[in-house]
Formats: sequence, C-alpha cells, structure tokens
Amino acid sequence: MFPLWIFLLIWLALVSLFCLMAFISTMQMLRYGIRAHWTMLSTFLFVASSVFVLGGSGLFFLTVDWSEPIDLFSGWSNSIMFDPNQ
Amino acid sequence: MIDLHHLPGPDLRETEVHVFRRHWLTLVPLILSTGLVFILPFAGYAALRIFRAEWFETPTGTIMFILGTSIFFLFGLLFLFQTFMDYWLDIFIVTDKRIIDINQTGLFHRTVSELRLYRTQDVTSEVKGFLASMFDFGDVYVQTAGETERFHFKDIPHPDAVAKRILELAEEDRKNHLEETIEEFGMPDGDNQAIIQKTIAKKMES
Repeated sequence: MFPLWIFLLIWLALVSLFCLMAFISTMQMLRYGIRAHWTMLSTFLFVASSVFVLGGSGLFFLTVDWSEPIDLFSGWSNSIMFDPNQ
Repeated sequence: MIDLHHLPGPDLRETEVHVFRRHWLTLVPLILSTGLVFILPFAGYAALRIFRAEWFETPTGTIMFILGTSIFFLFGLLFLFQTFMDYWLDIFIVTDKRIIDINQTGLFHRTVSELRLYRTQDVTSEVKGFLASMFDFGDVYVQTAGETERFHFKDIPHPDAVAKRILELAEEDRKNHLEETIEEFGMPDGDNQAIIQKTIAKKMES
C-alpha cells in the first residue's frame, strides 16, 4: 500500500523537468528562429497545448483526495502463475 | 521576405536574400509522430476499457491514468517541438554577398558558417532517390577556393535552380571584388588580364 500523494510528487517532479526544458526550448526558438509566422505559430501552439494539458489535469487533481492509499497489486494473484485447477 | 536586421552579422548593403530549409517532405516522420502522440493515449484508454474494464471502476485507476497520460502528452509535445526546432533552425541563406549555413543540433549545439560569395569556386547539386526526383529536392555542395572543406546543404527544394543562382550571384560578386578574386584564383592570361587591370584602374580612380 502506497499513499497516493507519492505519485503526485513524482508527477510534479516530471512537470518541473518539462517546464525547464520547455522554457529553454521556447527561448532558443524565439532567439534563433528568424522572425516568421511559423516561428510564432509553432511556439504559440506548443505553449497553448502545454498549458491546456497542464491546466486540465491540474484542475482534475484539485478534486482528488491525495491522502488515500493505493494498492497497485490488488488485482494480481498468485493463481495467475500457480493455477490451482491445473 | 526576411528582415535583413535578423541575419547573423547584418549587412544592409545586401539586396537579394533567399532563405532555404530542408524540403517539407523530410517532416513526414514528425507528422506521423504527431499523430502517434495524439492517438496513443486514446488507444491506451480503449485497450484498458476492453481488456481491464475494472481499472476505471476505482477513482485511483482514473487518477493513475490521467497522471500517466498528462506526462506522456507533455513530453510528447516537447519532443515534437524540439524536432520541429531542429528542422526550422537549420537554415541556408544566400544573399548577393555571402552564403550563411546555420545548423542547429539539439538544444545547445549551433553552428553558423559564413562564406563570401566571390570565394565560391564550384557549386554542385545532387538529386538522389525516387522521392527526391519526384518532389525535386536534394543536396547542394559549395566548394571554396583553396579549401578542401565544402558547404553541404541537405534536402533543399529545387537544388539545380539554387546551384545555378549561387553561381550567377558569385559571378556578379566577383566583379565587385576583383582584387580579392585575383588573390584567390590567380591572375588570368592574355586579354582577360588586360581587361581586369583596366577595370581595377577604373575602380581606383573612382
């Protein structure tokens, strides 16, 4: 049994890594991408879809009770490997 | 049209500027990956619904699915953006004074090479393969005088026309850099020598 918030922490760590990489990528694109519609459009699409995914999942996670425990292996049974009927 | 101020080392005397990138067909793997990034989570959801329907019966199952899917989407988007960056920031610029080759590899590796047009000695275009022949894209090699290293522009559209235009521009630029050209390629013999000497003398007077 694990508390659910451990997965939230892992998620937050991965999101932080994503934000750092996304920030560096966007800066490089705006700095070196010669001023053109595609530079702006692709950067806008990337930022907008990232905000959409982050915002959507963030809003959902606000409604979750993270103190609940989770049993990852509850569906697993030894009977899969050692079938008593065999 | 590109703003001359945004070229590396801007030179406002440049009047003709062409910007080339790899042909759009080289983006097909990126387009397919985009489809995959958007389809996979939904396919995963459908597969779980069919084969492990009990997964979504508990709220924790849904939470775990959304945690995983959102991370997959975010890093998928980042991968797509960086792949597009790699395509978009690889630029080959030809002006009436120079050739600039900008090569971006990953996030932190960027190479900018510049070549004065009058130093161009030989331009080769190469179209290789079925798709390249059908869609008219290929490589252009620019060789400079006295150097073994040459510029290589990969998968650019209409390589024959580009090579021809580079040669024309180089020819025009050589007329404005006669002294440097003679230094580079040596003094020609006979009538040409007399013509060149006259032109230099005229330039000196003016």
